[in-house]
Amino acid sequence: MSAAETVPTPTAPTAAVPRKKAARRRPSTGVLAAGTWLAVVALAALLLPLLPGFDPLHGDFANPAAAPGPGHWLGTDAAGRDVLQRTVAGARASFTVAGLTIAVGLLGGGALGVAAGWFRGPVDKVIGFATDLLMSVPTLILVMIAVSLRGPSLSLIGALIGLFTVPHFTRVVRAVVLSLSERGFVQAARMIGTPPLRILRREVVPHVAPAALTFAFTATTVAIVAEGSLSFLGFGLRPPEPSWGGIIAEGRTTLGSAPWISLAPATVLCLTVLALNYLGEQLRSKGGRG
Amino acid sequence: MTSPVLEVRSLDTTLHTPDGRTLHVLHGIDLTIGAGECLGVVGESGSGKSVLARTVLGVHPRTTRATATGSVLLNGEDLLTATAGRRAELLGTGVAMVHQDPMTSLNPVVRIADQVTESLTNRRRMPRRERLRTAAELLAAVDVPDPARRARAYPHELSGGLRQRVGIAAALAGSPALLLADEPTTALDVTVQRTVLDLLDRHRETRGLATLLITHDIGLLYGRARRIAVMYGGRVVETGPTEAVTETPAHPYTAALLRSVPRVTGPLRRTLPAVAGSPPDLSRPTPGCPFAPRCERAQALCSTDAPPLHRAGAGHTAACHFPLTPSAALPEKAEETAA
Repeated sequence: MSAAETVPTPTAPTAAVPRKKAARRRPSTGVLAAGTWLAVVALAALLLPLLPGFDPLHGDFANPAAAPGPGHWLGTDAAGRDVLQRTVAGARASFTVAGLTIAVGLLGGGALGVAAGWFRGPVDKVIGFATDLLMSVPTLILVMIAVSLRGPSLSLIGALIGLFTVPHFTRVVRAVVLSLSERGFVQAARMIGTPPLRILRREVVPHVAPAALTFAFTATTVAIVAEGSLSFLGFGLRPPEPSWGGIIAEGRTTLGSAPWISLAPATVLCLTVLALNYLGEQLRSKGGRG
Repeated sequence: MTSPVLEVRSLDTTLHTPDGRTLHVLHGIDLTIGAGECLGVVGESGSGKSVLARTVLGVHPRTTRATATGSVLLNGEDLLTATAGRRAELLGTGVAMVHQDPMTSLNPVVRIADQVTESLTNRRRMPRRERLRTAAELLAAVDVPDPARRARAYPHELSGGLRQRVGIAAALAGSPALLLADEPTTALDVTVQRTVLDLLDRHRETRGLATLLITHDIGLLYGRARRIAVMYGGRVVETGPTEAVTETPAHPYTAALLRSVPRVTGPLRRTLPAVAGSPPDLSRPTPGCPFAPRCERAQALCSTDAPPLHRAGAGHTAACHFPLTPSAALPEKAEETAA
């Protein structure tokens, strides 16, 4: 039990065990890199728009499709707009959609998963059928239809993508609750007359949280990629407003002559998704059995 | 004797498992425990000991549906017919359970103080300071050293023995009249076992707590339990004062169980006699004695007819066609009051 707290042995023959101990205290290089990248993107998206002269819609007509260099670090697009500024501003769209997705997915999936796993029987069957049904719907196509009917809005896109992550959250949470409800301490709580709602709050939810939050990382990347795809296809924000998918779409006609227009947001999107997936995976391997 | 704390009369429990099987687990159980008295329930795995405790509590695994007939009287109040609300009220305050495995019965993410006081905070709000103080008092009562600090700790910071003390403190928190201890020392090493059992004895005596001590180790009951009930195949096959049951067992199963206890005296290398065969399959009930297939004294009658209650002495009965001891000269009727 207390082995984890002891000082790591310097002369340990195999690297596996001591490395794990060290990882408890100090994040690995990979985790640091991924975390730093996410922090940089988030801070840039939050803080850079506050700087004077930041205007992702302003076109520098003297320099259309200029190569990266001083003045425009990542070059400009066909309308002379700064690609770096547009990419930074585009993060807002991605993060808004991702945030909404997580909120809807966690709340909806968490509640349904706890209900299905706790009550079992008919409740579980109904929820299971509903989630299966929802999973069989082609997500992107349905969002496109919704956007063409109601007009593009980040909250609509976020809420809809969130709705489609609900079944996945439900399954993750349900599995944990199922195994939890027969654990000793849950039974012990029932045996001293703890009311069901208190058991759920005290014994079940804290044990469900790690798995649900780990899955939230995966759901975030799904949301970011989905938002990018929608914008690329023209179902995201209206064109002058920047979003990663939209900028990539604008740059694809000049991919041969001015590749940076598409490459900059594409690289940022890839790295962000990679960082989120990596962190999620690390969490899973560290605390998955939590 | 004053009226008993727990009186179980012809209790039958049937479990409906999630895979659709119906198990008739308990058959006509009769038990009585008075205040400050310890009844030892002995039996091998699958004899129905734990189901007995769970039936008294009315808490079964969530996947299992249980039906019980007969009566379970706690201070004269029938728990089987009580409303769900009344039962929930009695859990923790009327009857409490000490669990088998202190490693799993404590929630790893909740502080000791909050777990020890749970049966109190289920009923009324308690500020944090009071929870810590009450928990420290309860922990001190079960000999946990440095109780104020331990109250703030999490279960993983405590050793197995300490955790079981925490489990006992949590069971005692609601000042129950009846304590069910389901193999409370099975998960502990031998030296700790003794201190934990002594602790249970002390609280039983000082609080006048009725204790049902479930174990598969008959040796553990010497000098602790005043009476023993031996369970086999969901039935109480023999019951009586500890000395009588262990010294002059009337039921062949009890005798076999006693023979399989390792002894300190005698030759060093020898084969320990085991009870041949395996416990009965509960999903396939037999009309006769459940022990018949494994019994060396069994005759044709045993597998067809349910054994009668044999009176072996004062308050000592066994359910057997061919008991090991001669019948006591007392009339059959008297045992109702003596038991």
